[in-house]
Amino acid sequence: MINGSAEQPIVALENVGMYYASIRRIINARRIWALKDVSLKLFAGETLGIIGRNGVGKSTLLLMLAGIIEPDLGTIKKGPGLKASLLSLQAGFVGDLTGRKNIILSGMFLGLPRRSIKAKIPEIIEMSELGEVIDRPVSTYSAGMKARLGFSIAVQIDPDILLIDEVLSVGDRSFQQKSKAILHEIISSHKSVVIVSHSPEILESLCDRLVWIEDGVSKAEGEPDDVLRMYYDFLEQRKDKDKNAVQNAAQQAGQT
Amino acid sequence: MDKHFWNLVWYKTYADIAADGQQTYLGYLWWFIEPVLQVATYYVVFSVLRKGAGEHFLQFLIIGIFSWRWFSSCVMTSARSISRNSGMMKSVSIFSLFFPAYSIAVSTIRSATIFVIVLILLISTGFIPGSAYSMLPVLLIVQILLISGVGLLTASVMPFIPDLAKVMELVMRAGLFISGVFFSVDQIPEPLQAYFLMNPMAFMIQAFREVLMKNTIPDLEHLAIISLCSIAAIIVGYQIIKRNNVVYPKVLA
Repeated sequence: MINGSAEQPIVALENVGMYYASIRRIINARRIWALKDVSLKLFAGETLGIIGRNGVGKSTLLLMLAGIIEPDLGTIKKGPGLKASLLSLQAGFVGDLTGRKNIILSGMFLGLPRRSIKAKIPEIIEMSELGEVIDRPVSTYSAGMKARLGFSIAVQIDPDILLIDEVLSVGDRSFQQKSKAILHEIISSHKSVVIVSHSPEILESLCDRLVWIEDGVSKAEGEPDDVLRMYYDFLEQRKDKDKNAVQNAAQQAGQT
Repeated sequence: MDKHFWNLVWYKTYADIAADGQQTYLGYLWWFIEPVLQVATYYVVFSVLRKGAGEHFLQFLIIGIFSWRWFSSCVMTSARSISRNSGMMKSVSIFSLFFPAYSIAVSTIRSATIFVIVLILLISTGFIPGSAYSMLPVLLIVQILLISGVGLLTASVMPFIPDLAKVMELVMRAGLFISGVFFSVDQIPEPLQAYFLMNPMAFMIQAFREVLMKNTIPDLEHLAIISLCSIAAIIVGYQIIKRNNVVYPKVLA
């Protein structure tokens, strides 16, 4: 593991908060705070996992790391010149175009220069196992074929920091093994990676460190074992609470 | 805005034009079917049912509908382009100017193709190109500037004021009737003519007719004013988009 205390993080979030546009009313407009108070650090070469239940702000956090949105509170410090990109599948696909043209279009959307994406076409076709189908319109593809193509294009990007949102295996069953292996290879190379997931098993096996987010607040950051223990405890407590709530409701219903 | 940005704008434009030909059985023919039907409808309404629409009313109408459709379709797609692409903004990091830029490029290429047909039609029905044709490139450039100005400015604020789309639909519907698509400026009472021509599209349609049908040079001063205002709108729209590039994905959640 690389994170010594003396080492400078390449990205540091301090007490970051962000709200989405309010409910649209002229009077009584409201702000929805997706993130309230998040602090975390990412060190060069490490894989950082972000765990939390659905809808606690994990994806918003990734958008912020990608520089697509900016915080309303707190600060983000990023190493100069560092580029962070989302692993986006099927970005900008146009159904009526052939797979080959979509490779160029999607690749350019992901920031790859046209020339370099063109040079990678054979490699992408091979990885996606599409063969001659590549010259047919994407709208004629099955969901699995489309996913294979999208994945094979997306993994061509080579940013300083790779951001992955819940896409650890894609496509039909046979391709899932392959895509998983490819991603594991990328993640275990020396690249800095941030992965978002609500699945503890996946994060435990891949990540050097974890951050736990609950309701827009970073609750814990550290070794996967420690963070996951806290996360599990929290889930247990919630379950008990819910059970109690259900029992209380049942009792009240019985009394009336 | 680097070279990659413009390469992507051009490739996306090319891709959308290519897709136009694939989406339906009639493909590119649809570019022409719609305006032809529109011309036919108005021709029947204004010329056959209501006699006395004047000489060469068909050519007059075709030029009016061509320039109006180019303006309205282009401006409307551009105006909505940023609002409609929040999904894209949240998956790749892209300068939002991309969306109106390629929308304007796509509609302009479609319109340019139709324009070639309009020219052929005019020439084959006896409107031989005269010396005023030298003004044609200038008119086309001013029209593109005008479209870009209105298109960028509306696109830049649409995410904050979604009601603007409704307002624009109404304005465009009214615009068809008050921009002189069916009538010429001298059919309006004299004192109102100056107000009528304050609508830049009314002036542009008139200018296209002057050059293509009457071999007359349009009012250059008026053209210059429209160009300058359009350039100002482009600059303001661009600045708003630049400043709000990281705000749009939040507002459009």
